[in-house]
Amino acid sequence: MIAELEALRGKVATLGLSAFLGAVPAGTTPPAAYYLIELASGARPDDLPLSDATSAWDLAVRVKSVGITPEQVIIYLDAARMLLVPLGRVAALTVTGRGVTLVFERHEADYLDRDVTPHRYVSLDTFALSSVPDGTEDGS
Amino acid sequence: MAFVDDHEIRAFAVDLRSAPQRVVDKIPAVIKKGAVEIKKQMVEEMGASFWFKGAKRSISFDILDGGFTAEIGPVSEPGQVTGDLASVAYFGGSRGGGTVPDPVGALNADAPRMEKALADLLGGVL
Repeated sequence: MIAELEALRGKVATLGLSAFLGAVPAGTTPPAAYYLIELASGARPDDLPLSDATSAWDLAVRVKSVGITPEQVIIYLDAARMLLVPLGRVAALTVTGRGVTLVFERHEADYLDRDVTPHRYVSLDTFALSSVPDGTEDGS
Repeated sequence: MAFVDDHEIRAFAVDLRSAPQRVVDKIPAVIKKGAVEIKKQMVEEMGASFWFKGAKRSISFDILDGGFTAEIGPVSEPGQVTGDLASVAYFGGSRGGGTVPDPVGALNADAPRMEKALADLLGGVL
């Protein structure tokens, strides 16, 4: 599961902003604008069970953009959505040995995090991430 | 983790609109009852959070689309503090992680009751 999430994180990072998996690392001062790739369940990616190469699974994941203005986070999230699902809703994600599909589910919210200084705006989407081993009916 | 695929729901809603008027007239009450139950669970879940219980007041619902749609959740426009707090509770802050159960759980919890209520309505005309 980590490989798929890392692939998602890496793809988002090609947009030129930092992209973190799960959370901003403790002790790190984050940049002014960045992305977070999170599990919708609230679990930390490091706590996910290790899946063997033959298992198929799906997860709800969130792509979150963080920035200093509401316009900025919306623009950055739009850019991530266009990159991840350029045809609108469904796209493949390249992971060695797996057939990985990413489906845009919905835009969740835009809001202000007042617990940090300076305050940061947040905008996030939920995607369904499905992974099957190559060579299976649904795999590539 | 549960997923909400609302395409079938939307298709079902279109089907419902083509039902006899006496059935159509009863659908908004079913939708509103569902909205009340979902809001109730969301308020309970938010209220159970030590950090975010103050945000439960921001959870409400609007009935839209002539009673065929309910939009349930916290007021979340930027600048409205309690709504922003609820969003942080569900989706986490700028550094990660939410701690209050995803509202989709409340939706899924009520779905069987709502499906049965709608099926019962339609069953009366079949």
